[in-house]
Amino acid sequence: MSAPDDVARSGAEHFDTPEQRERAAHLGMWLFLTSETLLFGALFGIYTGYRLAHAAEFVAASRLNDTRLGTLNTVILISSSFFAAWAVHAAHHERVRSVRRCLLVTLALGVGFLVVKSVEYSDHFAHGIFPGAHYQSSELPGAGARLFFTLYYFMTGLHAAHVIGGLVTLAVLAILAPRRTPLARYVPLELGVLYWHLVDAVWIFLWPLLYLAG
Amino acid sequence: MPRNEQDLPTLRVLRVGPEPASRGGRYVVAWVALLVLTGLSYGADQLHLGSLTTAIALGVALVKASIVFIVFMHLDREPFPIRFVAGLNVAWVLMLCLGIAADVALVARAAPDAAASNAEAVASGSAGAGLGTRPAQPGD
Repeated sequence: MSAPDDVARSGAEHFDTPEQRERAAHLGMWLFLTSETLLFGALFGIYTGYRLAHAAEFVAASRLNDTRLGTLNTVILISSSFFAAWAVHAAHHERVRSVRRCLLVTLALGVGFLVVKSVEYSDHFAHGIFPGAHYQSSELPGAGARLFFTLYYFMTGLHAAHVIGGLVTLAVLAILAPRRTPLARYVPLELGVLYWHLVDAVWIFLWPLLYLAG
Repeated sequence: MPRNEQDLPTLRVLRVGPEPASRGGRYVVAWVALLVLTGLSYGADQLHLGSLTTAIALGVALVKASIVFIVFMHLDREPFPIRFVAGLNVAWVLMLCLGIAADVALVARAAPDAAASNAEAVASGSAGAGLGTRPAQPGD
């Protein structure tokens, strides 16, 4: 492929400098993150409405969630965000080994989050706590509790899907990192890590809504 | 004329702030602060303060999310358009939640019995549109 073709393929002709292109990529990523936030925002809105309509049952239902496991998952995701941020920091200092190490720790923590979540799901299933019409908890048979757990599964399930998407992205970035020079200009790493931070920020709000409801 | 000679204002304002000499220290402080705030929310929950627990936990969550956005996601050194997009985003979500809360509260105040029976109908599935409903079965 000729050089002009390379330029056209990368979209470089639209920008004066590589830095300007990087900033445009960041703006695009933030717009994408905005759409993701609005997706979860709609669910937060639904939660608000039903929580007000079934206040007592939502509080009682949240008590069926294991607060310690929810807190453990919060600590796990916060720590994973720290290591992801440190990976970008290391990239700015051209430390490729440190970048890969931090991304691997982030990946391990992300997998740990999913393992804890699956333990929670298994425990709920064992007690008949399923989403929607399949809900059959004898401990809390009310309709408000059924609504709570339907929302619980939808919100945490959607979040878990985002965690899996983030893990795949970070794994690909970790594999490709050694081939990128200079690492300080490894924009996909910065964008992928931004996505991971958003996943963390969403969980920061899910945790109090679903585990600390009163 | 090539696009880059049109001097689009959107691209001109996408100037990034100066890179701090060392961000490592800030990351560590932010991480510790996030863990401490998580402990604070957990501790408040253990005190069984009722609905105050949720208020405290959501307030703490706002602070924690701000730390993630500002320190980890570098929002403090992002150019104005990006900070504007992020700020507007938070405003939309807050507006959505507050609007729904106001609607539910108003309906409950205007016709408490109707609101209660409607909520119960949605929850039990008889309204046919709420979460947790199941489609009508031939035997129903």
